[in-house]
Amino acid sequence: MAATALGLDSHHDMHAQHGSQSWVRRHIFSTDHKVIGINYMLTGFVFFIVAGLLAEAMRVNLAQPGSKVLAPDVFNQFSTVHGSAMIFLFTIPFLVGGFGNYLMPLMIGAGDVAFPRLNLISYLLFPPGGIIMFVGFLLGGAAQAGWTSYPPISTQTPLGMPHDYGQICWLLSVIVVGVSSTITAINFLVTIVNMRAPGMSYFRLPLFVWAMLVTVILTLLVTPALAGGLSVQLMQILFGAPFFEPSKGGNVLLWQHMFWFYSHPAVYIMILPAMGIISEIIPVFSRKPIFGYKAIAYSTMAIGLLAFLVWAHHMFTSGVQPWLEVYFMITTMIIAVPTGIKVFSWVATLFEGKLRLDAPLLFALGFVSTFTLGGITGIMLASVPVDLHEHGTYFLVAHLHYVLFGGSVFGIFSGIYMWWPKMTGRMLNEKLSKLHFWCMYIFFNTTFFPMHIIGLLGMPRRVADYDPQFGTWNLFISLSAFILGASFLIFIYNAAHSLVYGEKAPPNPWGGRTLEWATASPPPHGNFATIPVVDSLPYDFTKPAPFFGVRDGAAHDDASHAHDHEVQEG
Amino acid sequence: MSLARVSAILVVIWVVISAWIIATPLSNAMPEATDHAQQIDFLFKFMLVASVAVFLIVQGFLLYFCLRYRRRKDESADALGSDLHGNTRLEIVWSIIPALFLVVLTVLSFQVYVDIVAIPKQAYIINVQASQFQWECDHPQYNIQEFNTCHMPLGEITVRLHARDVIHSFWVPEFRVKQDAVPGYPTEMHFKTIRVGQYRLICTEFCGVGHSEMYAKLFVMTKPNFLAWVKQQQQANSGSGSIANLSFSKDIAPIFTAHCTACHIATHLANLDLGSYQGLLKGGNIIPGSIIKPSNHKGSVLWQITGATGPYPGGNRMPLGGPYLSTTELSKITAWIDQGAKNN
Repeated sequence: MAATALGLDSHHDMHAQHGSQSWVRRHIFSTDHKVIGINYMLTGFVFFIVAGLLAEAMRVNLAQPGSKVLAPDVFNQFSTVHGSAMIFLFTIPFLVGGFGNYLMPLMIGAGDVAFPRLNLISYLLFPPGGIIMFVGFLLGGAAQAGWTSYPPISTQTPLGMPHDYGQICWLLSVIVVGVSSTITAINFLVTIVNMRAPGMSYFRLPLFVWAMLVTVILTLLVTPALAGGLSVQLMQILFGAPFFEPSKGGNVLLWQHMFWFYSHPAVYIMILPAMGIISEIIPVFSRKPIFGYKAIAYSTMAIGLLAFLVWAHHMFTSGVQPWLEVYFMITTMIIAVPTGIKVFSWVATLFEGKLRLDAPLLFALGFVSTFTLGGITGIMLASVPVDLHEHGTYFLVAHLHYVLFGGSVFGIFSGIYMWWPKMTGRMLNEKLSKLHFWCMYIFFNTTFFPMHIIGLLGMPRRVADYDPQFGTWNLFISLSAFILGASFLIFIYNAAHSLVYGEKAPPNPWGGRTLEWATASPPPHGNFATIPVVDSLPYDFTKPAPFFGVRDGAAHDDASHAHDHEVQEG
Repeated sequence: MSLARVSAILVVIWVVISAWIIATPLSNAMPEATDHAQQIDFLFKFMLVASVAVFLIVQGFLLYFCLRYRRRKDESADALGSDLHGNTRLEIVWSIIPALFLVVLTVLSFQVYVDIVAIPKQAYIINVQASQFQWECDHPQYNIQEFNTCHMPLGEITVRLHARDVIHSFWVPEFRVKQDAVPGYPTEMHFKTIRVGQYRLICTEFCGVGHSEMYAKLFVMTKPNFLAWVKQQQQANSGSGSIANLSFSKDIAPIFTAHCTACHIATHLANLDLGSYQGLLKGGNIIPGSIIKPSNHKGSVLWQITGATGPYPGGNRMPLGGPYLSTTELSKITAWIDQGAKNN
């Protein structure tokens, strides 16, 4: 979209009246959405590495049948914390708190979010909330009932201990990060509704902002339901409240409904922002508009609505009434339609494009490839009869990793590679970036695809050991997993090298048309010197780039002339 | 290579793969041991054929577009793609066709599901009690109990599931159906066994440290063989089997295997190993010393801790949380200890 903005470089700080502040004030306790966004990403990435190492330890144990590398209770702690940390302490904070914070205000032409100080409070709850989950390891054992924490296993007191301190830590941890999430949701909702630049109607929003809008509405409505469930489980553990205790009139299934009422929408909270990222990257790297902008926007809304109606498809074997299971099967099948529309639209965007097969696009296409497979297995699971065989097995582990890793994590990395120049002011090494992509894509598939097969053949999930017939497959999976884990070192090296020695990034290295590219890399405090006025759809490549042309075009990368440059209107 | 050519290639690949899927019985990979298994395998194949189509379309065109529309080295970095941003007819088609497919899939699934939940007029009833970490299968018709084994005849079966402590789940992969056993909330499964054989009954709902070990051997037998097995069990239970000259390996060790594996053989909770005779002599760390006193059952921790009346060393009767040893098993332990608790 053409903008009459004047970009700024870092010399012209809009808030020079703050005077100089300490490093801590500027980098930890800043209320600037960009600093907060980066902090979310850094903290989230630390939890990603730790949770990943837990998984690698599990894969060491699972490499051979009869292995005793990890004691069964330790294995169960690792599997519980791996899942919980990946979901609550990495994926959601990184996508919503990280990318949401960093990009959304820029994309709507705002100077910050609606409530910057509240934003800081949200962030400050995150590291301690996360650490609490790990404190359990020091208190006799972390939570070990799975990330789903079903009573009665989650409310059983371990032998010889007065309380399951690990489980209590887990409950408190998720409550704290849930509060953080809910506050952010309110903040973002108010920001998107109230602070869009003039001319930016809802149907001129970049698709990432559409994704964030629906995501935060979901977050706002369902996170309190989880908080309710967590609180009553805590009350049962601490005070013997009988919510889930059948002998005292309670109902074990009550937890499952409360939990999944949140956790199913949670998976959409995890995938919609990633889909939004993909919707931003594909048009820019195809040098043409997104195919079916309105369809994607409406599909996002449809997914958000349907997200509330499908939760008990996680409970098909739980003893739910048959008529209810049929209802949930129908709603789950329906939600596949808007998802399919998005996938087809992304592929169609490539048609007649001028594709730059750089790392951001490779990761985005990797997302499309792996997420589609995860969606396909999701449809298989939606059918109740087939789910009766596949539930609780490695087939499900494969499905969930294809949608969460193949989906959210590939989406996260494609976003990192896309906006790294904007956030850091440096370029990454393209060869290393491509190497990282290929390693991650290939070894992701070799790790998780075989799990479909062993699940169907009879290997249950959440097991530290298994029938020897699955030994060869598990060894193959473990070896792939080790290489997959090691491949992240390529990214870490690339990132570190870029921060120190990387080529300086121009404001718009990829030739994007959304507003974050209409200002310097990184944007100064306040983002835009004057409020941009929007007069067209995003991804309109017939208009000149908001700021400068693409990186390796001739003579167009001199950032120091920024404030002298005027962009033509229309 | 034109769009039409690529489409044609993808169709051919799809047809070839689908033909292979349709022609190959899934029972090659894993037998179908119930009527439901056959229905579910059919559904799965149907989905697999459709999945291959979706996968080929998405992946195929993605790859094709990447190769055909990539920017060539000699083209400017500024070079743009076309202005194409939608095609209403195409978008309608690719919304309606998947929706129709999903309707068909839902209807087919519904039909199979109705069959799965239907309660048969006549069925052989088995009560299954799941606990941490063993399966107890009771045959109410014959008053037989089995631990970590489950025998059933060919024909209509109703399994009534109960859980004593936490949620467990009853799954036999060859049966293709599973159902959770939920504390405080009895559940039922109905199926018709159609294939004789030995199968694994696998717990498929995380239930604690012994979840990985919670298996039972499940036997489907012809009616005559099943009745013969029933007769054998009833004779054993009536106590007409002698309890003189008991053997550790034949009479006592199987009791430990049936009831104590998850906590004291696969793992060694409280440092107690019941996997060997030496383990009994070594004892554990909560109650130190040997758990057997030869010729003195009343003084043996093993007898005290499993018996029907307390007081119980350590405060808890074993197996922890039940189900407890049967009268026959307790008599065997008593007799074996009094006979010298030999390692025979």
